[in-house]
Formats: sequence, structure tokens, C-alpha cells
Amino acid sequence: MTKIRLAYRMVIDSASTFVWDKYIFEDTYKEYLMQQQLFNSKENPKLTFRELLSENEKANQLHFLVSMAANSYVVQLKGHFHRVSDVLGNHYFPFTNYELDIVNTDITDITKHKIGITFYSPMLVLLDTINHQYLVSTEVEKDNGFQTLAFAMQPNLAICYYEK
Amino acid sequence: MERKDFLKNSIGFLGLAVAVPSLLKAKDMNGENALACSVTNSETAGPFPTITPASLVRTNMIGDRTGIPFTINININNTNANCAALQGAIVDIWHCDKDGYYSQYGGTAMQTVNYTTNTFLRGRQTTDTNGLASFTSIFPGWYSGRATHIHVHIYNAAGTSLLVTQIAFPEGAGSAVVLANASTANGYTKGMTGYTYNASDNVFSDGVTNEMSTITGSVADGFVLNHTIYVAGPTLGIDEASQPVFGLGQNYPNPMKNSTTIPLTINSDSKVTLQLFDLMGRLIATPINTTLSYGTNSLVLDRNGLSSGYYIYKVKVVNANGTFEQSKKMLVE
Repeated sequence: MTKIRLAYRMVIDSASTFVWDKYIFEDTYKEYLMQQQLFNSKENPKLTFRELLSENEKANQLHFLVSMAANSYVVQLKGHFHRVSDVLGNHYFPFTNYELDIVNTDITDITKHKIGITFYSPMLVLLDTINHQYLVSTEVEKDNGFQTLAFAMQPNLAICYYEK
Repeated sequence: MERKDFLKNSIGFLGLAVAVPSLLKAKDMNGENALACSVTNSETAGPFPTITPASLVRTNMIGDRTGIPFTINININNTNANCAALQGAIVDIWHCDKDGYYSQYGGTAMQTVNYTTNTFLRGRQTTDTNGLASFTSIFPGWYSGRATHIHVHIYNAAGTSLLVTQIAFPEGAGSAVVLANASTANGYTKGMTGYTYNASDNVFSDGVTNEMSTITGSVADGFVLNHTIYVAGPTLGIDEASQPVFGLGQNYPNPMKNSTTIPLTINSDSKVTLQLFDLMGRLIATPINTTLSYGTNSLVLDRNGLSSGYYIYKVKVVNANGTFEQSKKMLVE
């Protein structure tokens, strides 16, 4: 039985329009402004995250630290990412984990702020790929007779774990 | 098939093909690439987003961790305002769990920790009128190379960093660190074998006088940490009183033989408590608990059978301006 995890990554930046995205955009930027001071020089601060990272490897922790500001919004999703639905349109992408990454940002310019959020599904049984869809089931304990979901292959959706 | 028919059929297929991109486009509207004229998205059955503070803002920072209950009280005083309590400062703290692990992303590319539980033992509070930020946690364990410690990052109300520091723990026989790490019933398995003591710790080895906390309590009842941190906060305005709220002096003679005097200046009548702790953080006595009038007072301590060694005296002053605490170290010969 083939088991997989699916991952879906979305990007939030100043052009994002959803309310949920905007809250995360603003709050993660505020959090970045606070937390970057742990790693940045007071006298001669690096303006962008990428510059800071190349100077101080420890700034890598900022991905996680900034995710704290997004966490309460991710919790509001209650484990389902609604923007990715199955083929029927009434089941949504289930996730148990997520990871936030800072694409780049600038302490003097909020419009440069850009983050990614990757949602990771629980372990799924991969039954088949039919018509450019992943036919999967969350019933990993079963050997046969599955309730299935079909997720269309699409940009930003990938298999991130594979087990035979 | 004749060439003419083939072309006709092909055109038919092409006609179909044209419809596909518009379908894709319609689907895209539900994604992040919402077009300028797309139908207002209904957030289909999605959540109703509400503004919520960062997950760090909470009193209880235990999350899914277990261990001995631990209350952390941190007072922030402002060196730019005569050491008065600093209200409205943002205090971030983080420490490891009983096994020495921090909440953070794992080493692998994929986050293995569940999203509801990966924020443990990190907290954020804003100081109250007494400059106090209080957290509910569990007693931290230790990891190789470091003495037990708590990380602290203090910001002013606008989020500008004022100080990054660490809080040290009293150690040695009978200290909370020793008692907690011996408590296998609470899941602390490491004991003190291989522990890095403050003297050899690369952060604290240059002296811990300013970073050392006082800890009271027991394994059964939980421990309470009290610590005062001084930051260079906002300076006083021109019209603000620049008179110190209180001034605690060093005792004399120090070291003491039979008795010693501690000078204490207060600018209004106050209730004054003086507590004596040993270096393990154990409360030895409360020799003074009275109301004193404003001005300079001399608090006289008698030896009363104290064994020789270092002690910390902590003075708490309560008056109309608030509650203020300060500690100093003294030696008994």
C-alpha cells in the first residue's frame, strides 16, 4: 500500500486580497520587526531578511519565530485549507502541520514583505492517479474498501512524502 | 478522412480547447491569483477570520509539555527613570522543556510537530503598573553545555528592543534545580550528571550577580521564580518627578559579624518588608515587616544565629506609587 503526504504551499504578499491573508501579512510583518532585532545589528541593521540571513545564519530561526504570529490564524482553519477542495468541491485539503517561510521582507518597507505557508496533509493512502487527480484516502489503517478523496494535480500541490 | 474534413474536425477541437483556459481562469479566482474583476470570493465555508494576537501572548505557556509547575514573575525597572517600575514594556521569554528541548522547526525540511502544539514554552506579556510580567510554565530542564536558564527579550511598548538577556538559576545542594532534576516522578530523568554549573557556563561564567533569580517553593507545590531586570527605558519628561521612589544601599559593615545596618531611603510613607534568602533561593527569615516613614531609614539586622556565607536581602516597598523590589548580596563572616 502506497502512503503519501501531500503539501500545498501558498504565498502571501502585499497583493493578497483575502482578509485571512491580510491579517497574517500584517501580523507576521509586525512580528518580524520585533524578532529580527535578536539577530540584527543595532547600529547598522540589514534591511532585508535575505541580507540578514547571509550575514547571520542564526536568523534562520526567524522563519519559526515569525510563524508564531500566523499560528492563531492557522488554528482558525480547524485543520482544513478551504482553497484547495477535492473534485466534488465539498471536501477540503486536510492538514495536520504547517510551516511558514519568509520569502523576503524589509524592515523599512512593508510592501516587500512576502511569506509562504506550506500545509502538510496527514498520512494518506495513494490508491491511484486518475485523470490528473490523486485518488487518496485518509483511512490508512484499512486494506480495502476506502472512502476516497480526489485532489486535482495543480500548481503548488505536491507529494512531499512517499512510502511503499 | 479527407483533408478538408480533418481540418474541420480540428477546428472543432480547437474550439473546445479555447474553453479550457477560461475554465482554468475561473478556478484560479478561488486561488490567490484573484483577478481584478473577479467575483468577490465567498471564502467558501471557510473560517471567519478574526484578528488574534500572536500565539505568544498568553500567561500560560505550557502547551503540551509536562513537568513541575513553575511561576515566573519578572519585574522590569527603568534605569532612565530612577529605577521605577516600567509599565507597558513587552516581555518575551522562552526556555527549554524538562528534557532540554525548545519549540522550533525540526531539522528536517518538513515540520514534524503538530501545528497546535509547536509553540510550547514561549510567552509574551506586557508589564502592568508595577512593572510585573507573570507567566505560568513548567520548571525547565537542562541540556549539554548550558546551566539552567530562561531567555528574555524586552521591548518598549512600540516593539523596539531594549534588552536581550538571560535569567540564571541558583544551584547546589537543596536548590530548585537539583530538586527538580531529581524528580523522576515528574519526568525529569537527567539528574545533575553532566550538568554545566553557572561558573563554567559560557554565558554566566563572567558573573551572575545581575542575572541571578530567587526561587521559592517545592517539587510538590511547584516553584516560583522572582527576578528584577533593569532596562534603559524611556527617559523622564521634563515635568516628571525625578525623585527616586526608593533607594536601597549596601549593608555595613559587610561582611557582618554580629549585626549590620542597611540604609533605605523612601520618598513617602511605605510598608517595608525585608526578606533574607540563601544562595539556593530559600527564604531564611523575614526580619523586617513594618511601616516606615519617608526619608532615610536604617534597618538593623542582628545575626540571630545565621551561619556564615553569602545571603541575598530583598526589600519590598509598597506605597501609593506602587510596589517596588530590590535585592542585594551580603556576606556573614
